[in-house]
Amino acid sequence: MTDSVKVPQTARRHFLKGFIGIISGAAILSVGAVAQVFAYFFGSKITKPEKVKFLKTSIERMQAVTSQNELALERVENDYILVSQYNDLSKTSGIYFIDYTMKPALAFLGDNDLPNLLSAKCTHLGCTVGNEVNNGTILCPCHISYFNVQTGVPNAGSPAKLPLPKLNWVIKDKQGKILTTCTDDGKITGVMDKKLLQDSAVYISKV
Amino acid sequence: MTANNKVFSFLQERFPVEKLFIFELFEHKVVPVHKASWGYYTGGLTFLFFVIQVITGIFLLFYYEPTISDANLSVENLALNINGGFFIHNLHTWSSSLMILCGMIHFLATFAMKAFEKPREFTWITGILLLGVTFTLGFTGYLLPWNQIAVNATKVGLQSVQSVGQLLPGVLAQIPKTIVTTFQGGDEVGQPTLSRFYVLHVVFLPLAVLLIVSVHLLLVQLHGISKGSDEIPKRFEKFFPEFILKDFIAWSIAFLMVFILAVGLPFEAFLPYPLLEPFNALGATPAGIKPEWYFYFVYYPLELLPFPVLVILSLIVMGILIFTPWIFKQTSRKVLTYIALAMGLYLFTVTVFGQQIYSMIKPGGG
Amino acid sequence: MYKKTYLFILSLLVIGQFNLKGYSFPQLEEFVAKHSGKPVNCAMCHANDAGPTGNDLGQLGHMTVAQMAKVNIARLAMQPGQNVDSPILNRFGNHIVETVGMQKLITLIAQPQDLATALGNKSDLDGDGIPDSEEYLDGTDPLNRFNGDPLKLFKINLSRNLIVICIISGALGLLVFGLAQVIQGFKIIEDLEAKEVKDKT
Repeated sequence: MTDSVKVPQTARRHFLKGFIGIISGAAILSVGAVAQVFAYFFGSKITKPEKVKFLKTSIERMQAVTSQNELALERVENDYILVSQYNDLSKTSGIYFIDYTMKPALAFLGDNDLPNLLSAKCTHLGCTVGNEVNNGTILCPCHISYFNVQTGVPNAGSPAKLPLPKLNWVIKDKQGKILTTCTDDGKITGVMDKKLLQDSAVYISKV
Repeated sequence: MTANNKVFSFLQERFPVEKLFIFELFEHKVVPVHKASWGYYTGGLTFLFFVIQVITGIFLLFYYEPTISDANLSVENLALNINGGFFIHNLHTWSSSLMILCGMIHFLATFAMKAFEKPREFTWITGILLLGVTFTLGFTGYLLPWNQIAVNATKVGLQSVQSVGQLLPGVLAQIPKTIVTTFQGGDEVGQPTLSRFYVLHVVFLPLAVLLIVSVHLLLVQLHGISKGSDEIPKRFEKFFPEFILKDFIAWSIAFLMVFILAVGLPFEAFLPYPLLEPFNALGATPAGIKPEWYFYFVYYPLELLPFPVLVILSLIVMGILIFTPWIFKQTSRKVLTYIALAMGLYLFTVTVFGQQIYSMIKPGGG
Repeated sequence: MYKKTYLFILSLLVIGQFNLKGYSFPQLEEFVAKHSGKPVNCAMCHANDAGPTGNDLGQLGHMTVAQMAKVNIARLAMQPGQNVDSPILNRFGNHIVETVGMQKLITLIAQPQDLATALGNKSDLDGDGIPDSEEYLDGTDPLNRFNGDPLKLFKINLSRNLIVICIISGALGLLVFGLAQVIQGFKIIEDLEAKEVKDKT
């Protein structure tokens, strides 16, 4: 293009102005970018209290992960996992625990005053359901499914169609003697008197 | 020979770029000028935001730690204790949203302009693939801060894919679960998921974008810019230097916008703070879990329509998108523009008013 | 009034010592959720997002004897201005007790909207530019400087970074000006070329 046509003065002026504009604009941006990059790598100004807070939080989070790994190990090694003391179970507020597949689960006191253990993993899309009982139901807040706390069955019209699976459990006394058992299909055998179970503890069993 | 010419010929001898056929294409390439010409800038803008993503992403890698114990804290540390850390992170987040927004507008504009017309079928298909990879980049990146919304939204997303298995017969029913388990690295979202999503997000998917975008751009150069209008354009402008310089101007304005957003508006300010807390594996899922805004167009139908209907609809839409060059071969640009407008209206309405519509249909929900 | 409140606190303390049950103020949380239209949780004021009751970190069941003493000091901080550092509360929770005092805080359960007035608009614990009292009403985190009403944050951050934005705008303006000039230069040459071709033919 420039070979065949002589560049006129007006165009040269535009090119010169353009050159100055582009170079100065790019220079300012480059200086800003270099300063930013330098500050990003070398300019951290963390104070002592901030560092203390940061390290403490880091340790807490690592401990939380360690606890999770300990839970996983416990589930591989043991045939019974402690869920809760029998006396701590409530009909209105569930206790969260982790089942053998490392999924969240909830422990309530059933209408029959025996443990009622349910998976807390929503059967719709896998959120963890809440532990507070309202009108006999627990809520999955993700897509609003209400599950009957006794049966695990979702309410009509909720996004979840399948009930929350029930988990088997055993009750052991202080000496570790099994007092009561409940299988996956809900068959309960052994002691059922509330008074006799006062000092006992609830476990999930592998078998 | 003037001094300028001497310098020019010196450089030309050392860098004989004119031998590259692509420069030959550049020299003769023209861009039609008509009322929808703005659509030609949308692809370049998408690419600009991708470049910003790559640069800011590399910077983030210096401080991000992809472990479930430290991921959230490393993001928090970056934002609070590293100079410019918040800006880089916020720029990355805003730019990802703008990349997807521009990608969607580019998709609608090229559809309306019938830029998929023969012989540009593969330009279209590579574009659709790019859009898919970009959404996957968004999905995988969303998990990395390992907070409540990140992990729970990922769980919901993966579980949705797994649920497709319920609709398939026989051995096919296991395929979605196998896919999800492979990506998840186990039965639940955990450390293996974070590691896999991290590798996908920072290595495989960006490489996939680079590869596909190279083919896409090569095809654009080989076929030239589509005419984009049913009428014969009255004017054309040269791609080089006119259009490309205008493209740079558009890039400068877009960069200024994203810069102001990154400096002024934390992206997470739009989320309720309980969703920004570190993920708690032992607690209830907090209320308000949603995917990122660019998934609303599929999220709200997922909430409102029966799952099988949504799966069938999604398959139909995907089929139509891939085979668009053949399905709409005879359709005029006017009709295509109406279809693109309808699609745009749907995307806008569901994205902006999705929650209100959902609340009207399902009071007390989500 | 004072006597009544004191008795109430004392009874809480006595009960609390025995069963380690926490006494939070869910009425405040309910008000904030309703007023702001956003989901909120106990983490706005408490160390644990599930509140003070339980055995996890930041909950009463997790406290050592020394920490429990700090909890009780906060519970007995009847008047404003007392330095409290309750480990079941976060910085905002402690700030509320310090600023308002337990005596008034208990009366505010019935008028949760008045807590914002009682807190005033001087304190901004996270330094995001939005006073804590406004963050309380907006249902945003007073301890996270990146969480707040988006419009308010945007205005504040723009004014805080005005110089940088002006410099970048200026630099990009120069760039755009330069590019526009180059385009014009090329246009002149193109027109000239076209004219020459026309003249030849």
